[in-house]
Amino acid sequence: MFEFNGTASYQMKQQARCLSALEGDTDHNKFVVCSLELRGENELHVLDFNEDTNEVCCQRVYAHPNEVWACATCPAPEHFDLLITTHASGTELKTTLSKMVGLDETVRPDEDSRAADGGGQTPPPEAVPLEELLELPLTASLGESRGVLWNAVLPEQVVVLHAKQLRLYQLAHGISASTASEGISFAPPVDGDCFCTGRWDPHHAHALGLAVERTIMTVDTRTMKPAHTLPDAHTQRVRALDYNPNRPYVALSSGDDFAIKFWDLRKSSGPLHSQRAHSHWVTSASYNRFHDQLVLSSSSDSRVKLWRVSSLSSSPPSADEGEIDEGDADGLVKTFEEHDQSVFGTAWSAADAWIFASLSLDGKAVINHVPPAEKYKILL
Amino acid sequence: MVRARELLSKFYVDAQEARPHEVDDMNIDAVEFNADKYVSAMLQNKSLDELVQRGNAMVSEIKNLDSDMQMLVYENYNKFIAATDTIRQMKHRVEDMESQMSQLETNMNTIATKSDAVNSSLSARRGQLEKLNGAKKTLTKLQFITDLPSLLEQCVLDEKYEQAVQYYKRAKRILSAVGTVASFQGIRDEADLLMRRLVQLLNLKLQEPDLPVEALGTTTRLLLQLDANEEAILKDFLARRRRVLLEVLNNFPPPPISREDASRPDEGEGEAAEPELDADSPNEPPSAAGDVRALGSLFMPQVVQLQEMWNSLFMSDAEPTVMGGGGARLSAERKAAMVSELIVELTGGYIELCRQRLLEELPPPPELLRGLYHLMHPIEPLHALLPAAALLPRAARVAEALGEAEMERQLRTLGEQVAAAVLGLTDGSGAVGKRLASVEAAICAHTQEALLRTAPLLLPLCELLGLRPDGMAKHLVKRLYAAILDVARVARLPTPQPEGMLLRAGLCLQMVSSGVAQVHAMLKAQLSGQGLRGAALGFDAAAMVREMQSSADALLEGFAQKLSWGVSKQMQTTDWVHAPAPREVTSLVGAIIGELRATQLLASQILHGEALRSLLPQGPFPPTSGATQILQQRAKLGGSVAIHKDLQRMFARKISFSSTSGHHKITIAGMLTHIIKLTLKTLLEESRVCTFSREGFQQLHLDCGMMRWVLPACVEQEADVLSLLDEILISCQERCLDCVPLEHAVLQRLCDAKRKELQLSYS
Repeated sequence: MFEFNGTASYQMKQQARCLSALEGDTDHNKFVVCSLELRGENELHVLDFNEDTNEVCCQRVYAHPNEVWACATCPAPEHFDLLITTHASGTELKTTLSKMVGLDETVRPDEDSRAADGGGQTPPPEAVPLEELLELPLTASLGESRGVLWNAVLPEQVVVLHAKQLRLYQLAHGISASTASEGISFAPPVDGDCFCTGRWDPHHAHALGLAVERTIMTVDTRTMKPAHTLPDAHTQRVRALDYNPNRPYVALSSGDDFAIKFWDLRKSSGPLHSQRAHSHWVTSASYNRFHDQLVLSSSSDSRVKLWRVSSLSSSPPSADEGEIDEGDADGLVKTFEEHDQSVFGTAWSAADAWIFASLSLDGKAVINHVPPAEKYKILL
Repeated sequence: MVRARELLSKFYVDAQEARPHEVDDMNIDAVEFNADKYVSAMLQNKSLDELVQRGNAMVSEIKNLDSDMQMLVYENYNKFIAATDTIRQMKHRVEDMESQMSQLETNMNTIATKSDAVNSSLSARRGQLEKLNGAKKTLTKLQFITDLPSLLEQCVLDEKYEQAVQYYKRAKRILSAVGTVASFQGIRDEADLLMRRLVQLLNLKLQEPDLPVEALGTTTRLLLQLDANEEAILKDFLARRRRVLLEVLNNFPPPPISREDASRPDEGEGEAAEPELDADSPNEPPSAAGDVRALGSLFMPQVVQLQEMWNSLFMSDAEPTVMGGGGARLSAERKAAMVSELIVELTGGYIELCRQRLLEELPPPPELLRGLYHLMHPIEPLHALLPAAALLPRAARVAEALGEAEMERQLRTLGEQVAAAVLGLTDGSGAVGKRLASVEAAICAHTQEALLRTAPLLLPLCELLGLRPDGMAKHLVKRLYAAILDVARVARLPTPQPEGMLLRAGLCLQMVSSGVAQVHAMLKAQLSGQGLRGAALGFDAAAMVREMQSSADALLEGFAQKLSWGVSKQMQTTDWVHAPAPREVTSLVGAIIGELRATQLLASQILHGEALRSLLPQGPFPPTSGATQILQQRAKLGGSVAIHKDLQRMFARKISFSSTSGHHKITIAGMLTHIIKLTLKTLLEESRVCTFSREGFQQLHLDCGMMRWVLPACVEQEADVLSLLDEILISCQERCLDCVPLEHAVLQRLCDAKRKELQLSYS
């Protein structure tokens, strides 16, 4: 098959911060992008990336009443069209469970409309309303949203994370309605501190990794008792956390100190590796879903970077194969410079291990491939 | 194939006969194997693939069998050749032997006839001569024995114990021959009595506390000749010497007078051997090296003497004792072992004592070197006597360890001093430039001191120990490198004060520009003086400079981040929705400008020779910027998304935030630009997550206006800063619920008020 390694981009008309892969759909490279417009119509675009034609098109547009500060899609394939968003109404933050109706209908724009557009971007379809299923009753002040965390191991569990509080919900989906029972709440251990980000541990169903200011901690969500703590992990606020998909207790974090750090959560003495990654805040950093040698990071310096950390991966380069050549050492694989504005969201595709998307504040979503050279280095 | 099968069947014949004979013509290894039947069976039952496989397998089996057989034949042939050679040799030698044997026979016959002739001519007179001779001998013996008691008594009285023992020994032999005669019995008893008294006397003498060593030796030897219990006597002797010598060790260091006395006799020899090492005068205050020297010259000769005495007195003879007769004799090995055990123990004690003495005082290197020399030197004669005990290598190991410990200690001290100097940087007071220079000077001085203390040790020590100096020199260089590299490491340790980071960055830069080179030059000077220039190459100055540079970069960036962090905190804690209407430029701007000013001042003392740009508003208040104008228009028109998009594009400018380290020449303005850009970028990003009311927006508008007035003058990339300020304003507008910009006049009035305030506070 012909190998595409070109770049495809999609421009929204609004500002946007939230990007998420459609976790429940492992057949298509689909991403959800949510707009962030304080005074204006907000929308939620479902992008579909076609590997064969190397084109990205907007498959569906849903109208969303408020600007979206956080979103998460359901990781369970049977409910792949469910979505939780935290949005600001202008006075406070609300969190809603919605259903993207008609998501599985393939709406392909016909050839005529594409031709009419002069070969440029296909105009997005008309916006349709989201079906709001449930409002989760935890509210917060503006600017305090820190994310919605959907547990990939136990898809009925969702944590809504605000700066001053997090709450665990157990979802149940009936035929006619969905219900949410409230679980335990948890506030930052030190008064005045704020939660910054969080992540479910894929190896331990009830373990939740959290960042509180500069500290990284993990809690057991059954008791909300802290398990591991890494005090002062970064010299500035932590922005992102991710667990290694293959090695338990190995995680990465990124922060406002421009660095990505790799940790063994059981060792608080210091990071396994620390990398000055960008020239401003590192807004996101995540492991590839399958190949934990690859780490994707984005920054408010408007760059997206792909890193190689073979030495800390589940298949480190063996020492007996002679000297490691220059190309196999840990370090930067590629810098992607397609964005003109701060990048706040990155996501690996749920369907293809080598495809990822990034979203900058100006509403530009870019879909990229892992460079083939790197891909073959890992596969062969 | 057939040949191979025959061979194989011969080989297997035993195994087959053991089994009940069954006809198996399908077994390829059996005698009855029927090839045709086998082939046809194969053709019937197997597929083509299997046949080809089987065919291939057979070919390889055949090849294997062939090569095995060749091997067997070859080996047997080899053995045959060897046997033929041997037989040929045997035959040749037997021929030679035959002629020699016949010659031998004739020789023997000649000898026999001559001997017969001599015998017959002498036989007549021999009998008489022998008789006369025997009578004379007996008479002499008789005379000696009758005189014996008086002789013995006289000898004992004259303390000629040795003579007495000699006489007694002689008499003993004669007496034992004629012991049965009564008249001799009396003499014998008398002599025995005298000898027993002598033994008692000798034993008494041994008990004397200050018996000289030589007397102890001879007395013991006499006792040995008289008494049979050799082991007990020798052990007693060794125990006595051990006690005395250990006492010498235990009483060390002795009071000064006795020490000097003790050292004097040996002085001449020592100085002749190694004058430059032995230069200390006896009047010197007690020092470790002096003590070691004194101990060496007092103690070791005695140990050497012990060994020599032992060898001369106890090792040479194997004569029987005279009194006890049947006591156990010790073998020479046993005796050598006894003494060497003691000597190893004593020397070990000596080495250990010296080691402790040198360790506890830790003298300066030349002194240590002298001490080590004195430790090693006295052992040399002993080593020559007893090479098996490996005493010299043992001492050498101790000396090497001491030398390395000293080096290690010096470099550790250096490491601590350097770290303390770096950490002390933030606590000091006074002008920053002077502080930096003095810390650098201190680092260099400490390094120089450490080098002076260690480098001169290298060559003589290695010479003394017979080692190659390169290894030790390389070790020294490596350790020194690590100690200096610690500057970079210690500098990166977290510090509570942000200015501390800047100071340390300054120190790293100073090390980059001059310090590393100085240290390297010092090292080269020290080592090349000793012909160890090669080892100095181990000091990778370029790598160290890189390390220092990257430490400086990291520190500068950390410093820049601290200011950003303050801005972040301030933005996050402000409630922009419920902000009051702007009345003045906020403390945020004041804080930023204040920090920048402090940074500039500090940096100016670290990086010299650059004119400072003022951090006060320069020139007239800037006119309304393009962005603000559009904002104002947009506020009047009422916004649409499309307009704002264009607006954003118009002012969007991709700004690089990479730190100045790329240029490698750090300037104050460049540093300040970098800090300002990062701070503004942080402000921009923070403003993008806030939601502003009209008042909140106006406040930020005012703050940006003030910064627009102040900042461009003091940065290198004015356009970047202006663009960032515009972006902040536009982002604010996007996040504002009700956007009405301030009037330009109001903006100017409030900013002017702030300017006056700043001027007042800085003058």
